[in-house]
Amino acid sequence: MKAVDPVPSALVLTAIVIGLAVTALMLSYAVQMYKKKGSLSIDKYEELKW
Amino acid sequence: MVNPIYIFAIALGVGFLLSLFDKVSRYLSLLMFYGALGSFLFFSGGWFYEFINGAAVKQIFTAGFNPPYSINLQLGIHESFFILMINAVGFLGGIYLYDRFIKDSISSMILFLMAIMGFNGIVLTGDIFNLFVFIEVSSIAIYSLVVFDKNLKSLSAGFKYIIAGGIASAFFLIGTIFIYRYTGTLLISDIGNVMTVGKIGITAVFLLFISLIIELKPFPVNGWALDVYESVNPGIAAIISGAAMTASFFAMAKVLATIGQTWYDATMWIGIITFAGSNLLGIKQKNSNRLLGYSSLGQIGLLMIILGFSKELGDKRDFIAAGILFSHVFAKAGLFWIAGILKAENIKDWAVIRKKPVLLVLFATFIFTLIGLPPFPSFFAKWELVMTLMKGNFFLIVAAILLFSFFEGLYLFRWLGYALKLDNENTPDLNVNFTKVTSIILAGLFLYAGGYYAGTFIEAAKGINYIPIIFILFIGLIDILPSKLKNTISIAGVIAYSYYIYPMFQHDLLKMIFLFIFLGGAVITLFGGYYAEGRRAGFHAMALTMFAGLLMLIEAGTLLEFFYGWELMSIGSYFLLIRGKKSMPHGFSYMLFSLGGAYTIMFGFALAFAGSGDISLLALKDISIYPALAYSLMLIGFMTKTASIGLHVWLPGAHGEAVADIHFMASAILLKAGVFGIIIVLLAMGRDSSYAKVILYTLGWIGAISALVGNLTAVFQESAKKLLAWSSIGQIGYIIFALASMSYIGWVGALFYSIAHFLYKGILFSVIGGIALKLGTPYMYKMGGLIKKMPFSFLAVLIAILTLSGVPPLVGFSGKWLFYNIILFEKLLFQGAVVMVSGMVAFLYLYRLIDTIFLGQPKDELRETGEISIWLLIPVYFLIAVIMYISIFPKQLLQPLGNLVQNYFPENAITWQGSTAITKFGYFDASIIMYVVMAIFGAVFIWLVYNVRRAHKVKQFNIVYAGESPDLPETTHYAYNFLASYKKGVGFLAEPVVDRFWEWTSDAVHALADQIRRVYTGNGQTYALQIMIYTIIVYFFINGGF
Repeated sequence: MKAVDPVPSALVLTAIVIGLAVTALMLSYAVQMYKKKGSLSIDKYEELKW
Repeated sequence: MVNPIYIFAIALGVGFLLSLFDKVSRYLSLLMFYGALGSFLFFSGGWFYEFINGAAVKQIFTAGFNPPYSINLQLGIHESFFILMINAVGFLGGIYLYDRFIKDSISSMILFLMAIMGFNGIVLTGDIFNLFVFIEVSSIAIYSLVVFDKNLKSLSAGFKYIIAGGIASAFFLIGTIFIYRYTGTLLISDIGNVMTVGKIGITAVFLLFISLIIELKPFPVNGWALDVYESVNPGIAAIISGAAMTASFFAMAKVLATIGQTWYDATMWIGIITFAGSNLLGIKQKNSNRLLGYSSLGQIGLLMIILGFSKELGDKRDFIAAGILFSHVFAKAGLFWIAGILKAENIKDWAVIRKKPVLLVLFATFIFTLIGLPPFPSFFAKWELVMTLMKGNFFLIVAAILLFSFFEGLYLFRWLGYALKLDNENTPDLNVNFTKVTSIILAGLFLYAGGYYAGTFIEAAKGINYIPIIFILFIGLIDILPSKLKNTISIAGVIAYSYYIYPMFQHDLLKMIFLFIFLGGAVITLFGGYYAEGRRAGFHAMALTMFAGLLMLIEAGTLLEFFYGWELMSIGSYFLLIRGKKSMPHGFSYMLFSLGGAYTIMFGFALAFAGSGDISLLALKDISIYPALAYSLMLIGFMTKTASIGLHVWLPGAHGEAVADIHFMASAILLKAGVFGIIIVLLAMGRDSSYAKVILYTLGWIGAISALVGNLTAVFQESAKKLLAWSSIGQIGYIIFALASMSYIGWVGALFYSIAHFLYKGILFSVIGGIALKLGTPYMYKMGGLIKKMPFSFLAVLIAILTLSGVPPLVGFSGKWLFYNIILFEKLLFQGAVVMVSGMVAFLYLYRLIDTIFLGQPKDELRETGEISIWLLIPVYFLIAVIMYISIFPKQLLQPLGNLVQNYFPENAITWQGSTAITKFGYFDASIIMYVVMAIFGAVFIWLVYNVRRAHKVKQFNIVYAGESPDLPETTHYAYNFLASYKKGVGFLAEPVVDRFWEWTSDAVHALADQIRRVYTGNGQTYALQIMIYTIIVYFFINGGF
């Protein structure tokens, strides 16, 4: 029987969807952070430490 | 049994519909939301109930396919327990956030629901890719909830969180793909097979492993997690620390179960490093939420240790892990919830919590749970963990666990102390709404119930008597009633209970002696408590807790029961001692020494158990593994309570601040718990082995030096209460010295002295404490001339002092006589000389008490003062009556004591002829001495009375003033620096070298922690780099190279 194993397809698709969701979330984080502090450099966000 | 798939169906269905129904009404969407969370809790509770009643593990495949094409779920007792906790925290956390959900955007509710569903999925799924999906679902929901409060801090913390989570999930995905590529399966239970295909398989497993480890936030690559805990809304932090951590931990356990022992070992070491690092660094933390973060990370570390020791812990593992996890989840969630109400960032601002006593009680409950004190489940779990590991010979690891538990105790107790004592006058009132408190109260109740339930699982805890604890709870509940009423109920309770347990110990004189000191002391001190007006909030519950603990020491038949009593007593006494005005630092150091002492005792007990496998107190006899270490550690632990030199630094301050009746409890009664412990250890150790000789010799010197330094430092105190406190250190030193002689006469002396010390110290504490209370100052140079104002007090103090100083005819003389005999019999000449010298030193401070308080010129402002409270005097005169009786008839006490001690040390006994006691070195007859002294005293007294009529009375101001008024009036007062001339000669012995040593140690540890915590730079990129480097190091560690 000639059929592609459906598992890798499902796996890759799901991973892409999740990856997109996380990227979108990070992007919206970046927008909000820029709004608050006016910088996109991660070195500027060190208020919390120790 | 409900199919677990419904959890996902409900969550997703409600999640989609929420935004739709929200258009109709917010109350409708709230109803659906809480309905969903409630149904999860209801289902998981039902499942857990079925599984503990023996239901079989259930596998669920979806959509009629088999794995790997279907989603497969597994539900057994473990899964049901974990999701029960997750859903309980989820439900309570949802209720807690009600005031936010009712007004925020509907997306918060949806995200919250998705997070909880994700955690359920992580626990339930049996499929590795599914696990990945659920981890991602819950992570994305949590990433979004981190910015629940939209502020800069939570934004930057959330961003770092996503970076770390992103790395972890990339690893996980790659590992999953490799595993499927080489084995064709996604079943978690089969992934171990991939390791047979060679290095690529091991790498695949490693990637999964490290990803789960990163999710568990190991030290030192967990800076991002701390940032999240610090900045996120506490309601969400509770979910992250409680539910998310529970789920990740279960995922770890599930994967580890299939991949073999090497990985367990790695988990264990990672756990130890995390536990150690987090708790050490926590001691420098001032921000309450971040501190809770440190504590959370430490608890995860402990859980990883437990998981890593799965094989060694065997069938005990599940109980231990469940106990620790359950305690952590509800205590930590509760603490975060309280933090959310107080909105006090700095731990020093937590004093505001006193405005809501219910919250304060819950706060203390959670703190005790985290530290692992009774009656909470963590106590039993920690006990089983230590005992089982010890049985497997992991001595150093147990030592490390106890050491770093101590650090956790350090920062948590400092925090509790701040909350209990710091000033909160200028803080605004707390607005507490009903929904928030409900969640916290329920979390607290779960912990108490869990503690009771956990106790029923352990064989060694079967004998724990819960009657006193129920009584204490009752007293706690009626705390709003006036003090005098609670006092009456408490006394009635103690008497009734004494009557009930008396028959059990009737024939065991040793226990009867301490029962008399503890319970008799309870009645007497509580009676004195009638002097207090008002409510005296919390006093009775805490005093009874201490007495219940003391009682449990006597009742204990097993090591665990003894330890339970010991810890209970420490908790009660901590709250009593910290009641004084300036007691915060002293209560803190008292608790640290108690905790440290408890851990050394626990280690000693564990060694005893490891050698014999016996859970009863008989295990202390003939310890086979490191007996010298075990006995020494136990003795050190008990000596933290007797405040022997070196371990005494908490006592002067703590006792010096305590009010009259608490001072009595803490000194005359509490210190005897340590004596009782030492007696038990010494009886078990015996005196014949070579190590016993060394230990006893050292112990004798510790006793002698405690006696000398304690008495000498007492001489130089200005505060009458501190004077008595130091004197207690010296007096207990005598007892330890006598016990260390391990001889008939020594033990009779020690037991006799224990009773005598209880009697006369009880008098002194009550009276001096009563005077300090009346005058509002403990300083002797502010007193003076009180003999006419307080004649009854004067007489009582005089009698107590005559007794203490050991001059004939009172009981102190019998004690001294016994001591001379010990020295001569045992040829302890050097130690004996030190003890004798310190006995003479005692005269100095005793004389000072009489002279500077009662004699001399009365102060102007004290002209109107009167006698101290009658309620303090009644028990005092009762004690005087007992002293008089024993003074005339010491045989009544000495003979039974002799019969008792003869069982242990048959040689050199005292023989009796009528009322005359005879030893090899001489004899004494107390009754004759009493008559002789009375006759002489009577003669002198009559002569004085006869002569006094010829005396010329001088009025107080019939004197000539000269000179200027000094800047510091007290420095010119004769009672100030009273015995200065002695200071020149022997003052160096009273230098606080030991205090300096402990201060130095504390500073060094804090400085170390401050240096190490700089790894948390706060930079997201650095954190990413740290994770990568950590991954590589762990890889090398596990595989030993490429």
